[in-house]
Amino acid sequence: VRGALLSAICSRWADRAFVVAGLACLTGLAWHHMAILGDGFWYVFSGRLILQRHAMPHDDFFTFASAGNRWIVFNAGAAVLWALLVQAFGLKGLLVVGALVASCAAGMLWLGNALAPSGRLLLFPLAVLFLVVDAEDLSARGQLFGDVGFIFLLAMIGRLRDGRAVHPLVPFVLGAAWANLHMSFVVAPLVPLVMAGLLLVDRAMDRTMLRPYLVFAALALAGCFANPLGARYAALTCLQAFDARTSQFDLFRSPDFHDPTWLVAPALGIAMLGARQSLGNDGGRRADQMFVAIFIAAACLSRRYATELVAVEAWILGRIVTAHAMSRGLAWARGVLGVACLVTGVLLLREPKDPLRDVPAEAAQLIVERNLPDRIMNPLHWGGYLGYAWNGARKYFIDGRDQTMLFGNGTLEDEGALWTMAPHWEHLLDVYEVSTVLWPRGAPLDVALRRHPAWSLVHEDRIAVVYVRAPRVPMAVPSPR
Amino acid sequence: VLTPALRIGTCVAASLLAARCAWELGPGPALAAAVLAGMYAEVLVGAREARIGHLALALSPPFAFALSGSRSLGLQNYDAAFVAQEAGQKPLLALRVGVLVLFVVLVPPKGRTNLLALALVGCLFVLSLVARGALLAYVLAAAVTARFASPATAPSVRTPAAWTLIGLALLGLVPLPVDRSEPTSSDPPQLVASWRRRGNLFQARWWAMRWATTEPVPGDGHLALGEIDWKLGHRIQAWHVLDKVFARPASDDVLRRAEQLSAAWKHDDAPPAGP
Repeated sequence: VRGALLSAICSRWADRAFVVAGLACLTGLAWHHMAILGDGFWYVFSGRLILQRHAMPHDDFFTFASAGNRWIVFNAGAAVLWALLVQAFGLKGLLVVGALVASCAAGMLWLGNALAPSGRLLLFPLAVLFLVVDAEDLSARGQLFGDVGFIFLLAMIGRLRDGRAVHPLVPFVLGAAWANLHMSFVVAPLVPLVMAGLLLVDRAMDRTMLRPYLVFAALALAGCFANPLGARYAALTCLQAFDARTSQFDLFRSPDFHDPTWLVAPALGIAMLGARQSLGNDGGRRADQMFVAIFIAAACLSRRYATELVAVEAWILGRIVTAHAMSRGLAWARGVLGVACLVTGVLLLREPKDPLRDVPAEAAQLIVERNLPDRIMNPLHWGGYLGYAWNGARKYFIDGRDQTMLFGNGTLEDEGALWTMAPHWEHLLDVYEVSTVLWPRGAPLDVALRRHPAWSLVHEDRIAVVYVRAPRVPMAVPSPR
Repeated sequence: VLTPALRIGTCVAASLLAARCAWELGPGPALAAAVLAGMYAEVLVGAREARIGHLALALSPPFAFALSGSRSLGLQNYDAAFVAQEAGQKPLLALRVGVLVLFVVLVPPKGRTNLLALALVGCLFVLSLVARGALLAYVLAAAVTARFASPATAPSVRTPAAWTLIGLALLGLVPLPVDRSEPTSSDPPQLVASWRRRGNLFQARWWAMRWATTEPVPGDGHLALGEIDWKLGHRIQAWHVLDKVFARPASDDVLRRAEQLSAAWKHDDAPPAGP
């Protein structure tokens, strides 16, 4: 008896050690990939403005080519939170919190779905995959909260599927908080509705059992609209979701399927479709399969949804493992994986990070110090930093705040034309009366301007170049014939 | 067993949809596509134990191909990766996922053969994302396997539902409306109005310049240019434009509007907003 007791205690401690090592690995991975991109910086300057004015700003004085006074601050809660964090701890603090939120999402995905040691072993690679597929886009912005919200939502759907109660405040608070943190809040009422619809088609349960899903969706919707900005955000989310310009962003385009990393999640999804056919509870089998299929389609449509597909796969796998009570853990596998996780986690966490690694800090400073002439052309992904660094003192061309209202006036397309060096690129620099170009080093526009007689290079650093147009004769006022 | 009318209806619908897809390549390819699609449908719905899923599997590829057009199938650039945002690719994504779901419903992964079939179809699904030319192989593999694999307990055919399905599939023959959201115009007055409406004063100014230079005497083009210059902060240039209008206006109406602008500008000395 004493031996068995000792073995049980050892097993429990080994499991706890594995969990700690796994969390260290996930946190290290999140830290390794975490960055502050242009979007993170516009969150900060938007939040800073809200805190200064104690009101929502509507006038855009950061850019010179936007469509006028129609700026609506998205994700105001996240913006204020980011601004407060930067005020208190600086940009590095923002990086740390971003990494913690991302690792919290991956940890919830892992531990929330794996209740037994064997499940923790099986699901850990999925938690790692969750961060790996998000690696290119992992940055300190509202999307982090969107991921946390989605994983939490899946956990709540799981509770409903198990016939367990969910406190009415939970969906309400979820909707209200999510609406302030990220535009993906619309899925809070949508996912329960979709699941209810799939269960209805599946005929897995009678209609009275759909009530909890409908109540959850209604309360989440009420929470979204209880937020003073909820209705406006919902309208804007729909506008952006169906706007053709949204698909111009890398994040909302199909992943590059020539890169094998992007094939893992769809392949796993197919495996999960097959596994769910013969494994897990009979109830809701078809609904689960349809649910995975929807997310496979979404992940093929846009790389933004690859993380959501991985989350759904972990959710399904967790339910299968729980249903089959696979409690026998492989002690040696956990031991080896645990040690590997701990070493990886510690190594990654020791990695030094520069919050300004991905933005043209030197070039932006030089433009101000040397008072280089207006108007300044920049790529979209650096605009947020320029707004943060210049705080409206100098205006730039474009940033990533809003592609429908603010930059839906053709500027987004024109930035894309400069990025891809469309035949009319020179014409565009004339149209926007550009005298200074701040652009990524080595990009096609850099190559073209380098040998252009009308432009001279005034700065070149690790990532950016700055060109100034040679003084030119002002545009003549047209004379009648 | 499906009634003969249903079998014929399914084959005819599949043939028509395939012909619609290949019509842009000419009558010969359209005819060949129609024959192949008819045979494909007959193989699926001619089975003794054909289910409603087989019917859907027979109609969904020609339907998606008809919506996408033959150029989207990847027969020319077969090794290009799937990109949903390219023309005609979204129906093909729906087809990929739809066929996968139908396959899982029709062929339960029980038994070694069915599991191997699922693995094959799954691999071809993934391959069709890597190289879009593999889409046809994926669809064919799924269809053939679903036809010959041990049957599942999928819903059986109900005649009204089957005819509804065929009717819905035939909607693929209706040409999609052409997107007319962005009319292309080279008329400067229209372009100035359009860019001003969209809130892009820089593009509007460019076209206002073009408009103004074509005016024999300063008229609406000059007024538009002056207004835009003023809004962009080119105040000296705006006054120059207005001076030209005052000197030789195209009409009394133009002169009157120039005077209104002048009066408004004299009172407008508000500095630009700052943080």
